[in-house]
Amino acid sequence: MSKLAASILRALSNLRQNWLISSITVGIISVCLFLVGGYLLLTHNLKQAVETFKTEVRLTVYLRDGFPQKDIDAFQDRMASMPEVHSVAFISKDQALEDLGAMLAGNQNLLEGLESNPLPASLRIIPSPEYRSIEGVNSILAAIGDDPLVEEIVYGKEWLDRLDKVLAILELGSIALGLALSLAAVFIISNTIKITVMARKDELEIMRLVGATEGFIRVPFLVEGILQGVAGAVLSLALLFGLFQILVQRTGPALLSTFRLDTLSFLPHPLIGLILLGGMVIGGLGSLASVGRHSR
Amino acid sequence: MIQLFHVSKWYQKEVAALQDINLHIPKGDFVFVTGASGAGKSTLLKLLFAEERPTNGQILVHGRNIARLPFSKIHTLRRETGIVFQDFKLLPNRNVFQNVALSLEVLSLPQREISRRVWLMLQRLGIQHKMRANPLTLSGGEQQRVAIARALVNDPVIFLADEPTGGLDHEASMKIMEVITDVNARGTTVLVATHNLEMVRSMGRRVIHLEGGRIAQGGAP
Repeated sequence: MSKLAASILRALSNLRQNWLISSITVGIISVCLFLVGGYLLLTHNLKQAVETFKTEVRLTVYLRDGFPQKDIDAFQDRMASMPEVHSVAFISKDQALEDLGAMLAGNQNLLEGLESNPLPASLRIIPSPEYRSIEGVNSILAAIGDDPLVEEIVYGKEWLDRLDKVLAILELGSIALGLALSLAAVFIISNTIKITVMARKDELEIMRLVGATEGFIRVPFLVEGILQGVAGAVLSLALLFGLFQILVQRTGPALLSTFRLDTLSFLPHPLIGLILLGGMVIGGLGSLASVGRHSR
Repeated sequence: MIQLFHVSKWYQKEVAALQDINLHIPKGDFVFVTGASGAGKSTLLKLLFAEERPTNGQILVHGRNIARLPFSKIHTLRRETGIVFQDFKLLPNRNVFQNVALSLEVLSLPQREISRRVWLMLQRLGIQHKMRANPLTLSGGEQQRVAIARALVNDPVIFLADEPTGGLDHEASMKIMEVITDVNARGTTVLVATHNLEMVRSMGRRVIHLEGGRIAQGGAP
């Protein structure tokens, strides 16, 4: 049997022998990672909700009257080929009037007095996803704003400004809070492991007295720490997933849709991986550091 | 062979546990280390298994200077040294068999070999019927036998015992000493630190007497 396999077997046997303290450690790790995971889940879904708001970013380019259709077509083609632009749709003067009529359903007599169509033709632009921000819109404005065809460009400037600010705050807040929460989790978990190792300091002492090498002592502790960390992480994810399912089922789809949360989803795989890795690293390193502290 | 040359151990700048110890213990010798509490008996033993480092002087164990042994090599010394303490230092979450097996597990021996040697050692000390018992359920004498079994199971060349009969009645103490005498008869060098002068006299072995951290008697073999 290889030394590593023997160390893993000893780690499993140690976990069995110290099952109570091991269970408490796993429990504390899972509570800490549950809080971190819950926070990640919240920010992940908030960001998704904001992303759905961003899909509604539109620009309407009102065109001057009197230009031939081929100029408008060429202008439209030029815009469609820009990387900033996802799609461009042409709304003719007639279409605009028709749309207005549809909007005024029941009050169409308001349009009866018109001698000519006062509405301009327009192009409706949907920016590419990465340009659905104030900077993105500005770069589109810079590219087409001076074109002689353009009478006016309208977009929800204030709304877009506000959305960008919310996004920036969310981004910064999520990093700061996430960091604080993770640090607290690392602190609590490493102290828990320190206590569990302290509880076994007699074992460490006796192993050294009978001639164990540091590797022989540390590797099983490292394996135990990793196993406890992973077990805690799996438990926290299972708990989080269960609660998430209950929340989604209890909250009606209509309510979710009202708050644009119909895209509610569980943590993506990279974040699940991050929590598992976090548990593994904190468990393993915490354990190793605590054993090291009991070396002479 | 154990040799100490001008060995001193100071715990703080003012507290000398041992001062200028010169000692020669031939291979296979049986030595009692006596002295009042604080005379330096335990410190002397701790120096011999590198639990403590001397402040001054050199300690040779079979020609190897353990005063300069790097931390990463201490295990090689401990594997040649069987150590027994008054408080037994048995693990309560392991049974008797597992406690004794620990000395062989650290050598990464095959499980079958470990089981064989542990069984033989428990038999030799007459506690094989307690192999599945938790050490805390045993009497003091039995616990000390388990500790001795753990110290001897890897065939050490030196056997150190710090107050091995402390807390035991006379009969239990004599039985423990019989076991240690048997260990010595098989060629192992034995050092026993004890307060029990009556037992020391009855054994008729070499005595090193310490007073205030210095050898008062028995430095030369």
